[in-house]
Amino acid sequence: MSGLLYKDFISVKGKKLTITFLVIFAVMIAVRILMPYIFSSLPDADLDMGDMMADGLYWIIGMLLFTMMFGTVICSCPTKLVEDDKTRGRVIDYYSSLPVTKKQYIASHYIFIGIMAYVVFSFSMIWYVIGSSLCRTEQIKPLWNIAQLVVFSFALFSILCAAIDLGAFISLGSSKGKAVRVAMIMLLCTAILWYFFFGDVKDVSLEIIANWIMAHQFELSLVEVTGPFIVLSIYYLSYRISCHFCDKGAY
Amino acid sequence: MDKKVQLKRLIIFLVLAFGLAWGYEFIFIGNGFVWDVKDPDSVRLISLVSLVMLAPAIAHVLTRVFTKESLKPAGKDSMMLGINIDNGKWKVFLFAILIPLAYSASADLLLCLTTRGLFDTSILPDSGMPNSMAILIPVSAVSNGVIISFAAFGEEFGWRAYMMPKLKALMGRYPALIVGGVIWGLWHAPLTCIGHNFGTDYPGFPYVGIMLMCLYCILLGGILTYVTEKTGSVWPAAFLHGVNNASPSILAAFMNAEKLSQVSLFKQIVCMVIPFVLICLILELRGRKKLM
Repeated sequence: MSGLLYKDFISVKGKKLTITFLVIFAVMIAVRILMPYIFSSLPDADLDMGDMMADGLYWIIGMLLFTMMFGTVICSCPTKLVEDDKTRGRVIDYYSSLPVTKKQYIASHYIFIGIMAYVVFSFSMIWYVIGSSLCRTEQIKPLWNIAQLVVFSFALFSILCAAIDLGAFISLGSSKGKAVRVAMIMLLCTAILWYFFFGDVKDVSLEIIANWIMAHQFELSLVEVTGPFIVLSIYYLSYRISCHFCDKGAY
Repeated sequence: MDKKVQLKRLIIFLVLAFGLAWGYEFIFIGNGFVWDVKDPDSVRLISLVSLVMLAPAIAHVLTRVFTKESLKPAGKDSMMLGINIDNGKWKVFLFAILIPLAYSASADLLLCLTTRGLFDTSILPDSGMPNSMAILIPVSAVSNGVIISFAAFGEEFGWRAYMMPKLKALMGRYPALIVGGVIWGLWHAPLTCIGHNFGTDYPGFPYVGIMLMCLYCILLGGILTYVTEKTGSVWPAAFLHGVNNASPSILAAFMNAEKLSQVSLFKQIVCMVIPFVLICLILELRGRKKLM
């Protein structure tokens, strides 16, 4: 099993990915520490705004971009993992040449993506802890709560996408898996476009979102608590379905 | 492997783990930080100070690099990062996630049974929530403990994945569990001295607190080492530690804070230790039975 995890790490170009990941993280930490000094050294800078930006906004935007960037990498993993095995011949031939069972082979993909999501989310949380602890500007503090919620939701969304994608790729094969992915993206884009065309966009502002979050603390806590269980259950269900289809020889 | 080499590596690891953690903590303590959950300034910094839990993980990786030890993620003499759920090992993962619910609830139950007026069902309704909402406490602890367990992982990756195998190779299992627990407890000493875990208002502060922390670490370390040995992986220990730190007891929602503050530290510790000792004994006896 561990060997399979390492193979998956190589398949997604793990070393390059890890280095990029750590460099971005380190640069952002350096920026966080240096930013207040840069702003205070500028003679004509609007220090209030500068302080505010340095105190949180850049940091929040950075955290969101970081999570979304590597969350997207997680979403793209299923294709890479399955395609990489396909280059070695039919997948069924590939894993029958390994000293592992079909279930172990499928489980390794799911565990690998799970570990990746865990690592990305953990680094985002470290980012959040450092950023929000150092934040002294009262106006920005509610934004941190929103950002944390977005990161949390995006992490769950990435796992959900990976569950659907990996399930589709393993159960239906690469070409149909890709079709499912395209359908998912189209559906998401349609929903966003529909909202922009027909939704009540003009009233949306950060203040309204922050107020909505403050007014729905309980419901959000409920979602925060039950969300991981629901998503992980779907992830497990996707694994079981993949195993089932694999037993029927669909893979 | 040569015991001298093992000892040298262990010393390097401990110097790094203690040096990094204490150095980081002293920056805050030197600037007047105290562990006070009622002070907003302290609360703001508590999670930042808690990042010190990553120090053992950093020390683990640095020691392996400095001593040219293998960096392989899984297998024998590895960093124990692999996950294997075959042969019923998934049960150990499940056990690791759920056992903190059992021992923390048992400890609180003992405390409620032995303290009149501590258990109070009007606390949640008074704050505008039905009593049934208390079910969210263990659910939330499991969810947060597993997903946001990077800090717990930081400690376990150092203590369970590096220190314990070295200690066991040097002195055998039982002495290693005790020495490992004491080392782990002492590592917390600066935070114990500023009120972490036991506060500052107890007889014998801070020495009694440090000793109690060592005792707690020996007992919890026993369970953590058990799940690590059973799976050959650091992950169940990280999840167990994460859920443990998320205070998963359902009874905590029904405890009268004023009454709780009047309960002596000694009594709280006794109630906490009994379930721990029972679990350690059961795990040990079960392990021996399987060996026989």
